[in-house]
Amino acid sequence: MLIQTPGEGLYDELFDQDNRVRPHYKMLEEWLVNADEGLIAEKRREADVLFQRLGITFNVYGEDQGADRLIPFDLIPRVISASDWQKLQAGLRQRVQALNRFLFDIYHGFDIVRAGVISAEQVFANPQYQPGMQDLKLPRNLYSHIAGIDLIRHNDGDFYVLEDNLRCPSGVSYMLENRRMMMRLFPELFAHAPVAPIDHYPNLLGETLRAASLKPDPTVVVLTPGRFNSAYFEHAFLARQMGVELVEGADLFVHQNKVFMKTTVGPQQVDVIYRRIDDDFLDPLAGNPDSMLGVPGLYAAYRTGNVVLTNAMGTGVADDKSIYPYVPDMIRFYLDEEPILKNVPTWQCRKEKDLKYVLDHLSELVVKEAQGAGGYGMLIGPKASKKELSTFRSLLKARPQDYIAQPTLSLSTCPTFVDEGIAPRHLDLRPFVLSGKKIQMVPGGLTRVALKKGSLVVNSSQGGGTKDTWVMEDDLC
Amino acid sequence: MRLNIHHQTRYTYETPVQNSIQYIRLTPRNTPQQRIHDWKLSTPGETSQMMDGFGNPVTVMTLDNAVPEIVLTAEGVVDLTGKPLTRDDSPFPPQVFLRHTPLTETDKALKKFASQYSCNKRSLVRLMKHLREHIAFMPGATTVTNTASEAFKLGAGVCQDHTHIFIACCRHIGVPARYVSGYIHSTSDDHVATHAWAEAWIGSNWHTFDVVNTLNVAESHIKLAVGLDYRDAAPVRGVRSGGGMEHMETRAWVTEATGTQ
Repeated sequence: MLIQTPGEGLYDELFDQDNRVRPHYKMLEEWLVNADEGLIAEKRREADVLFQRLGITFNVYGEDQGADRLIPFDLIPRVISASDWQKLQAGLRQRVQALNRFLFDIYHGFDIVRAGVISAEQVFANPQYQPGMQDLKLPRNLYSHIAGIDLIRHNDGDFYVLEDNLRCPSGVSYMLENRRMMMRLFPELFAHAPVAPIDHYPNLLGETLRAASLKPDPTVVVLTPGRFNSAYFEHAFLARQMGVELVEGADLFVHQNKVFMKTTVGPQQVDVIYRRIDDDFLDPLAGNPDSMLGVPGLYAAYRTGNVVLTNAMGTGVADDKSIYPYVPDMIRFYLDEEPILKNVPTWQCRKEKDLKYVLDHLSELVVKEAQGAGGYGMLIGPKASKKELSTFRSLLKARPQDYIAQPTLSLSTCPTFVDEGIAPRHLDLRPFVLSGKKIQMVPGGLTRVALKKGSLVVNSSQGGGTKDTWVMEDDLC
Repeated sequence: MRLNIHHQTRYTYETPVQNSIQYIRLTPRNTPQQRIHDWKLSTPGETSQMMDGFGNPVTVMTLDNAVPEIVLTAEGVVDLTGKPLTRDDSPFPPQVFLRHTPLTETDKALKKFASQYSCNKRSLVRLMKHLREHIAFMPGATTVTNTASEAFKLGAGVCQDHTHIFIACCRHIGVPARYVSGYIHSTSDDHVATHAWAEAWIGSNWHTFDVVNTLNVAESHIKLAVGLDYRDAAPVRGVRSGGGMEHMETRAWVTEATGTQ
């Protein structure tokens, strides 16, 4: 089959600037070129059927009837060279370590604020700052045990961190299922390509969750808001893979500041809760009183050290888009190291000078809500209509502190199956970083791809798809 | 001034309550302004203690046998020292109290009202007086779920609403402000002894703003808990199963102790 070459000035994962195939893609490219179109079409249909049968669906908020739908899966993997991964891995470790140090600091001594690196208002007036966490001693001083870091590769060839997700990052189940799907459909590919394995992720996650408690053999559960949550599939999947109970709030109760799970053989104490519920809903006696999802008394159990929540409450203050610009400074401040991964230059509209620049260059920039997620409430300047630009202009003037702006980065492209054949499409990468006794991750992450030609929006909630992510075990192939 | 406090909250139910868990903030702390001489909290259930993030002592009570009513009794003796408020009683910087909560969110009308005031004590005293004139003290007009904007629109409420509105205004103009729940000693009989007021951060100290009583000193106030809003500082927050309709009755007396100090 014919592979379309990328547009001018774009970084393509497969082709270099002279349209030569990059060495770590050689094997895959040969396979693609020689692949039989009929066979591929059949495999694509097979993948659809298998995903449907596995029940891997994604609930898109705001769509009529909240219909479950499949996230489109693309058969062409995204390949990362061994040397790129080495650097990414070192950078991710460094970043997550600094973020956890920051979280400990702002709930204890506030060294970074006292040192004047970041203003008190920016940390403490942040709606995600959780006063209820103040002075709480957590095992190993860990807050974000599971972090999902969104990265893109820019046309300069370097990876940039787009966003840190430190609360309840989703998507790891798709990473695992995408690999299973590829191994099932194309076992012969894996016989020849030295692709680093990722199927030990549930083991590492289990290890990380157990390490969140200081007890020798802690009881771990996954707490889900229930089957109407968009990531319910993932909650159930991870619990099953780790061999731990999947529970909802009503399955747990608190007595004498300890958390118990109702089982057929009586109450069993729970030591670690991998919670996939937002802070405010965890305990109706501490947060939102109307919450039916949480466990009354859970906050008291947490506060008195009888249970560990993963991730901790109040981690959101460190992954906020208004805190993001300070992460490189955090790395210098806490670790005394230079950041390995780049940040995207960010204008903070709360600063008068930055706001002026943003208003003057609105049509060139991407503007995002500091508290936004899922690709909602953002402006992509170069693609925006006059009306959209003027709407954002007034939004920015009214509440500048709610917005940040960044240059429109050109995300790298990767060959993808689309209606017209194999064409380059933009993508990003979300590796999952686990912090327990040590920081661990499996090679790769979730690759999301924008299926529309030229589109830069890869979010599943905005119609993006996913791909298997291959990290090569060595650079020679 | 030495004060005797006696406080009883009684919940009665249509049918017996099967289970209940409550966070009870009815234990005052020693601060430069108040010395706790003697304090006792009685509850019908098993209790354990914790300190919340704001530094408030919380008694966690669990009840797992069927009961027709729940009676909470707090009583003790507290000395008010008359010392001014200081900056030293918060575990975190005052900027925490700049953020809005669902109960203190401002709407257009409240924002417009707040914008007339500025960040100094004289202006905030004016704000307090102005609010007291415009928001009638009317028990029953609101419930614990009413927001600052709702009570402002209604023009009526109880101390909790006055406090939320004052806090919402302060935060809107960039003054950190926090919610305080406690007791007040008053010589008049028609006053409710359980009370709520605000503290605002001006310059480098906290200042009292008791909107309902238009007082900006805390000479007769006994502090139980502080927080971003009522939810954080509520004397009792609980859930239960069973019970049907609930009836709650709170009575509190604060009297000056006779005899030597």
